[in-house]
Amino acid sequence: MTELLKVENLQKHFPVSSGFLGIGKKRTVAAVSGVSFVIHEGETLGIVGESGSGKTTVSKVVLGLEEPTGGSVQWQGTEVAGESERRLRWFRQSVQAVFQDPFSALSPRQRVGDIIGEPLLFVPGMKKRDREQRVEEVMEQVGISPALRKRFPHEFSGGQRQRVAIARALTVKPKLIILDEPVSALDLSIRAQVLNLLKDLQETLGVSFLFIAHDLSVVEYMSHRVAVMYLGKIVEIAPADELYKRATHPYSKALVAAIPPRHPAEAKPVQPLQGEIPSPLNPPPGCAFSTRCPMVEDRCRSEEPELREVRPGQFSACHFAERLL
Amino acid sequence: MAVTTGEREQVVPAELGRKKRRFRPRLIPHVPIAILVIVVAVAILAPLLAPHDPARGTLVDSLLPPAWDADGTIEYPLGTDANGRDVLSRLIYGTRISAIVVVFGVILTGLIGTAVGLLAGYFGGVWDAILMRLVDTILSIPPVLLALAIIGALGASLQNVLLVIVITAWVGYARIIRAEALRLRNADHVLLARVGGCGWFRILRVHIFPNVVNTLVVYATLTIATVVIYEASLSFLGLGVRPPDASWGGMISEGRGHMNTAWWLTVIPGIALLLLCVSANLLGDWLRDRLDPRLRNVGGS
Repeated sequence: MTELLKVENLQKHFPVSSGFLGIGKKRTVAAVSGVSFVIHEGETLGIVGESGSGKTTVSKVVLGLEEPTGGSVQWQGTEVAGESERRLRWFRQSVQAVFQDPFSALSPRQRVGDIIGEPLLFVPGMKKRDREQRVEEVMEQVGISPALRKRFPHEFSGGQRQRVAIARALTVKPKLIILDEPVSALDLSIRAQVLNLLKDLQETLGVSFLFIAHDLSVVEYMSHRVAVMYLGKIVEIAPADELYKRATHPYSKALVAAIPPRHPAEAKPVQPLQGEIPSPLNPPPGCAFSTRCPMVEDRCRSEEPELREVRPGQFSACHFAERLL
Repeated sequence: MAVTTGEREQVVPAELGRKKRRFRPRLIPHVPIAILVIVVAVAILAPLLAPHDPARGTLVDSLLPPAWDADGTIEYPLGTDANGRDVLSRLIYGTRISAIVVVFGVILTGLIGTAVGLLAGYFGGVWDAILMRLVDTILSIPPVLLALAIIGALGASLQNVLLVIVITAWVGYARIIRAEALRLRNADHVLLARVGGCGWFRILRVHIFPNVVNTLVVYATLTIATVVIYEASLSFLGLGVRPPDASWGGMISEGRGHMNTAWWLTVIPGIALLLLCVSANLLGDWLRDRLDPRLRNVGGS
C-alpha cells in the first residue's frame, strides 16, 4: 500500500482576541494540537470526535484552505501545507472534498453541469467536448440523469444535491476525497443510499477517503481505520473492527459503548460520560480527558500521555491502555 | 382554482399556458418601467419635443398659469416662469440632466464601489484596512460640505456635480458589497471553488458576484433616487447646473420665490422628481424578487 497523505504533528491555532489596535495580550485557541496520521491508497480513514474536537479544522488544513500553525502535510512526499493557491494547483487535481451541507455547497446561480465540470476547467489541454463528456459520465456514476445538467441546484432535493457534490469531487479523478460529515445533514433513508454510493465508488475507482463524522456507526461502516479525536488530539487510532471490539482508550471505549444496539433487547446499561468537553482556551494539564475519565489517577493530571502502539496497528494515548486490553 | 360565477372559465394545459402567456399589464413592474422609459425617451428626444426654447422667454408672457387654468393659454401647456420661459420645455430639458446624473451616478459609482467592495471583502487584511479607512474618511465628510469645497474650487457645472456624486456615492456600494463578500468568503461553495482549483478572479466573478447582484440591484435603484435628488439639491443651492440651463432642482429653486402666486413653478418639477424616484424604488423591489432564481418558476426559463 502506497502512502498518499502524511500528516505530522499538525498544529492549528486561531487568534481569539488581538487586543485593542493589536496592542495587548494576544490569546489563541488551539483547535488542533499535534495530530499525525497517514492515509494509504484505496483506504478510508475515519475521524470521529465531538463537535469542537478539531475534526473539521484538520480537513481544512489538509485541503489547503487554512494555513497550519505548525507541523507538516505531505502529499506523496511533497510538502503542501502553507503553499500559495497558485502552487497548489496540481494538488487540486489529486484531492477533492465533499462538505456537510448540500444546500450551501453548490453555487446557487450555477447550473449543475457547470458546477460538476468546473474543476475540469483547470486541467491543462482539456477541450469543451471532453469536459461535457466527463460531466455526463460522473453524473451517471452518482446516479443523476445527465439530462438534468442544465438545472439549478435549488431544483434538487438534499440527497440529490449531495450526489451532485460527490460528482463534482469525482470529475478530476482525485486520489483522495475528504468527506466532512457527508451524510449528517441527510435523512436517514437517503443516508444509507449515499454511503453505499461512496463505498461502490471506492471499490470501482480505488479512491481513498478521509471520512469525518460524529456518528460512530456510520464511521464503522465506512472506514478501514478510525482515529478518535478529543480536544484537538488523536487519542486512539486503530483498525475499525479492533476499535469497536476492544478500544484501548477510555474515551473511545465510552463512545463505542454509546452506540445504540441493533435491537432493543440487546441494550445494556450505559454509563454516560459526565460533563462537557473542556474549553480549548484553557485545556486541563496532563491528559486532556482527565476531567471526565472514569479511570483517572494522579499521574493523568500532570503527565500528558503519548500516542503509543498498544497492539499491532492500534495506538492509544492513555497511560493505562493495557488495562483495557 | 376557485371558480367564480359570471367569469368565463379557461382550461389551458400548463405547458401551453406557459408558452402563450398573454401580456397582462400589472401595476407594479409596468407603470414604473413605463415612467422610466418615458423619462429616457424624453431626455433623448428633448429638442424634438420641447415646444419652446427652454432658456429664453418673453417677459410679456411671464408667470402664466398652466393651460387648464382660466388665465392659461394652450401655447404654454404648463405655464411660464418669472422670465416668461415655458415650464414644459424646461421640464423636458431638465430630464436630460437627471438622466445623465443617473447614468453616471449609478453605473459609474456602482462599478467602482462593487470592485472595491469585492476586493476588500474577499482578500481582507491590509487591503481591506486601507480601502475601508478611505471609505470611512469619505463618509465622515458631510456630502454637501464636500460639494461646496469641490465646486468652490472648480466652479459650478454639471461635470463637477458628477464628480462630487462619483466621489461620495461609491462608498455606499463598497460598504454593502464588502459585507456580502465577507460573508460569502467562507461559504462552503466558495471554499469548494478553491478546492476545485478556481483562482481569485473566477471566484469573485462566478461564485461571489452573482450572489451579490440582488443587493447591488436594490441598492442601485435606491441610489437612482438619492442621486437625482442630490443633483436637484445642489442645483437648488446654486451649486449645480447654471441658471439658463434647466434642471428640476434648479426649477424648484427658482420657483420658490413665487410659491404663493405661481404654484406650478415648484409643484410641477416636484411631481416629476417624485414620479422618477418612486418608480425607481418600486422597480428595484420588483427586480429583487424577480432576479432570485429560487423564486423563479421551476423549469420556466
